[in-house]
Amino acid sequence: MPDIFDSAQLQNQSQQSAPTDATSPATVANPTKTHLSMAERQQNAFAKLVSDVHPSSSTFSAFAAQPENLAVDVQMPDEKVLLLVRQHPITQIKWVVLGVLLTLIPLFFSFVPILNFLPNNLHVVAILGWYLMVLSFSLEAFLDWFYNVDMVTDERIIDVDFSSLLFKNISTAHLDRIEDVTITNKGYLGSIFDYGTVLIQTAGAVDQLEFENVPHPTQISSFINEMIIEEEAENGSQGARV
Amino acid sequence: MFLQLTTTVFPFEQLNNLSIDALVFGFIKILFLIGFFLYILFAFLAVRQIDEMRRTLITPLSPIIQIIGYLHLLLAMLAFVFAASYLM
Repeated sequence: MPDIFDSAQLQNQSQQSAPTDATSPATVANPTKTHLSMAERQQNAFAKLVSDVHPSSSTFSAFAAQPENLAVDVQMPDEKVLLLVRQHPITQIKWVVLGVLLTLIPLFFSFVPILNFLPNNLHVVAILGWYLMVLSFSLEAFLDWFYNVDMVTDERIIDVDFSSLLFKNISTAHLDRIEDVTITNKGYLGSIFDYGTVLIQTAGAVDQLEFENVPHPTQISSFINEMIIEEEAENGSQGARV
Repeated sequence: MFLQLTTTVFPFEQLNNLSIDALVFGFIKILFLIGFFLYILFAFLAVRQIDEMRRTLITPLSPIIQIIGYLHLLLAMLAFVFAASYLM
């Protein structure tokens, strides 16, 4: 058997080479990467975006730095959400306007007697069914906006997608696996209201994470880049300690 | 012979405007009831999905959204009962 596969020999070598002083850094340091708690980290190590703002307590905010009372099920115990974004509210105007118009359609039919051939009881039930459909459409659109979120934590980037009632997708990428961050700001509304799409290329199984139509894409991109640098520095300092 | 057979099996002369209306509207009523029943299934799915969403992203608003989901399901059931009683 080649020596490289002989774990017993490898263990003996490491015991011989290891210093006997229990207080030396080599014995204290954990060879696996440990997550630093927030208390261990210097606050000014984070980007200005997070270090200078007060924690956001607004539940409906589309751009919340250090959101309070918020957690995600894939979150690790020491992991803290530093930034939460969802689609810019102005992009939701379409379904709000559509919902209002759909609500007004039965009023239109009350002025224009197209459906008068129906018996009265069918008329009432048809209107009831119509309003139920409008309600379900609005509820679905709201849930789609509220729960489709993207997060930057102190360790990872998390993308939560619920495309429909039956589809759920959570993608995560560790900060040190991110290769490239691209922003796309398109359209008049995007320029006026400062929203766009942030594409994050990763080296993991999921090759790309997408923050779609999020507010302040430039700030988000800068923040992610600063977090990557900070993560690299942290890994470098841990490597030096080991 | 053929005419006699068809009139025996399909008594078209007995169909007047009123009975045709009753047939068509009866069919529409059944379609409505099927639609309301399918809506209950949709509302149930929505409750399940809200529960999944609530467990995925934990926010202070989650319990309220869950209540809205259950109220939506209750509304769908009441609408079905109302439609069934009102149309029949």
